[in-house]
Amino acid sequence: MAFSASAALLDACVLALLDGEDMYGYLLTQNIQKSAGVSESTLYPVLRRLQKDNCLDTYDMACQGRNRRYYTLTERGARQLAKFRLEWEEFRKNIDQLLLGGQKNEPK
Amino acid sequence: MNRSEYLVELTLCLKGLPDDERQSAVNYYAEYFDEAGKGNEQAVISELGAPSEVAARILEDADLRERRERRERRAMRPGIILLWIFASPILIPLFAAGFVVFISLMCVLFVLIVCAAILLFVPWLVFVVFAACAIFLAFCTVQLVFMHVPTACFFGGAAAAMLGLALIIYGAFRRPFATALRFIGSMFGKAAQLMAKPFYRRRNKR
Repeated sequence: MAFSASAALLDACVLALLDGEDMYGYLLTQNIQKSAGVSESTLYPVLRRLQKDNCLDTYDMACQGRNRRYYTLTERGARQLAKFRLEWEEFRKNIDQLLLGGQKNEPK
Repeated sequence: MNRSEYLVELTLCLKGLPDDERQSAVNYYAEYFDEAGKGNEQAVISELGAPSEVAARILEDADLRERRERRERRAMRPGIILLWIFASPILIPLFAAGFVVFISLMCVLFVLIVCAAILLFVPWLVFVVFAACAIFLAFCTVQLVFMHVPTACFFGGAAAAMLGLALIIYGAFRRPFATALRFIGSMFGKAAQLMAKPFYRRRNKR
């Protein structure tokens, strides 16, 4: 794919995936990698950064004899996600206009 | 390369990180291998890329974060210094006033303690004076017995009266005196305890 998600967009995608459902690293990667066009190894720094910014929290759960680290959205993370969604709406509209044609803004 | 070799190399490449950060990263990738399944080891390794590349991404991100935090700290410092400078016209007199109040309170406390001590010792002074008079009069009595017996009797009576007064004062003030002494002693003990407390607490925390 020619396009890949920027750092902020990746943050937003991770937060959106965790909205309503806690996930572990592998599952998150499988979900994002399919649509965002990023390599498997880019997700850990993203998760770590979000965790440091208190947008994510983690907890461990045993599963089939090993440990799974689940990521969950914090209140701050949910607020951040809402902000991202608003900004994305704006951004997408502008890019759509540019990319898919439609009216160009006439200089006044 | 297999899973464990990959993880060892990743650990080595992350040597620059603090221990917990490195452990967290290695744990994440170990878990990633586990989730992908035993048969997919080689697939995961080729997907992830070389350990050095994975490590480079992590280090870059940690470095960015640290630099941002340091910049924020540095941005804070001049602001706080400026705040102190602007506040100094109020703060310096405030501190001076606080210091003066503290000193005067200390003076008052000192005077109170001295007064209490004097008050406590007055009965003892009176007792000592009466006792001294009694001894002196008794001495006179012994001398006068050989010269003029009625005078000697008078002096003897006076000496007995003085002794009686001294004993009354002794009896009346012995208990309160001892109680007060104990009270002062315990106050000093409590003060010492209070002053020592923060040091003990601090040591325990460490």
